Amino acid sequence: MATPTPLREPTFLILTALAREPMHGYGIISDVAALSGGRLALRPGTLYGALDRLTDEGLVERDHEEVVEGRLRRYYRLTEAGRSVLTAETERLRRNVEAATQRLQARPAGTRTAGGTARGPLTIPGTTAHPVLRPTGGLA
Amino acid sequence: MNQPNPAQHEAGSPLESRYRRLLWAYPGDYRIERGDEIVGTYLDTVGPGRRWPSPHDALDLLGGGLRERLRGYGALGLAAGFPLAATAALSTLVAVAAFLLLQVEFEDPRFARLDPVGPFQTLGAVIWLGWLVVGLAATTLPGSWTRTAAAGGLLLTIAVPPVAAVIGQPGPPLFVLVPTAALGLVTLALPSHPGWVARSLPPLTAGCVTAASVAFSAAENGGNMFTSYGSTPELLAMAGGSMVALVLLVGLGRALRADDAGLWAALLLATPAGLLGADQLSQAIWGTSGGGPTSTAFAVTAGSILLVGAALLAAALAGQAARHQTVRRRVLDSACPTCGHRSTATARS
Repeated sequence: MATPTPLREPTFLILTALAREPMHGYGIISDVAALSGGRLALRPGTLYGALDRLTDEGLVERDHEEVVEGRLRRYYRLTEAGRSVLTAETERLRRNVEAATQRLQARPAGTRTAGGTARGPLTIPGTTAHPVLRPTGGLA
Repeated sequence: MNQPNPAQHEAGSPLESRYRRLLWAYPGDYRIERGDEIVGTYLDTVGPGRRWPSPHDALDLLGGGLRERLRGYGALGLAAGFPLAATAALSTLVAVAAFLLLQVEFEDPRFARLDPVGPFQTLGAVIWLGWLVVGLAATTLPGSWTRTAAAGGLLLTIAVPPVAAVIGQPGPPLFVLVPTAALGLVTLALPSHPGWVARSLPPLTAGCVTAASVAFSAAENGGNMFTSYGSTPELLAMAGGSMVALVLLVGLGRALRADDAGLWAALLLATPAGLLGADQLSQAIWGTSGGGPTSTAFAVTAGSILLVGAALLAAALAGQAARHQTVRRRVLDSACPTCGHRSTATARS
């Protein structure tokens, strides 16, 4: 079986927002912003384009609509296929996170770190040590 | 989380009317079906007291409308091709800028029989330095900042000739400026989240061209093959041809994975590439007068290239739309061989 293409972050978060309950456009925009810690601010033109594409792919479908204070609100929900894709993507990401966590925790003894030794990075008295990434052989 | 923004705007407010006006970017049937929903969501998201859509909102709606129209034609690959074309266009601009700056602008102005502008032959040096800065921005800054820098580069390209005319200083010729402006226009579609390839290309091309220029100068050993803009048309034509050929190659590779964005990008770049060769083409068709084509001959050739480029794009879109409709009709007409079910999905054209 062919490996499914990883979802792009906005798509992943839209599907995640719809995983709990049907939502309308503004609800999805707010939820995606909250899920991404305010980093991803979807605009309606982009959101509805994504919802159309996800509807075409059978991952999302319309649920119901209502009129609130003269404004049309159309709700969308995940389909079973959408739920499966989100589950598979979540599992893929979880495996990646687990693999990275294990590698970070299982750093072999004696490995030199940038700017220091296995016992930890060099620190200057009076300063706070932060994780540093530097290219090997760099100027640092 | 599912509650709308408490800021309310009356139905039919000036802001709502202005959002609705922007909806004209969408196809008519889509506008009827989704217009209320999209405008309602916009009104939920904006703060109180706003009277005009923000420039970002306007771009979002115009982009959404264009994507929806392309979706109707089954040509979403064209939308995906824009960032690819923009990346290739910027790399080409950086290469051209580095070459013209080193091989022409720093040359002795007496070769071109011009009054020097500081250490440079013409004010064109400002344009090339500008595009090198845009290349640097593409490598180091977020995508949206790079697009702003590209818009600055384009404005600089357009503004330098009239400024040069007003202050009586020499500027680069039209056969260099026109393709530069065309490529600059394409760079406005640079990706919001560029990958490492898109970030690496500008410094890579600048480095390669600088190394080639230095090697070329050393090999010339005092000779001067490129002494003014008049000695560069062949090289510009080659740069345009190489750009399209490379993008086409990438496009064919992606097409093997059912991704036609690269082919659309090659088609988008055909017009700027043609303009890079416009001087050569003009000379071949109309002959030369004083070492190059006349202004009229160049204008006619460049105009023809623009028309042919637009016609090619329109023909490709029409072909794709016809193919899309045929496939869609076949799907809608066919019944499931197991249960006899027919799709009830309505075609959105």
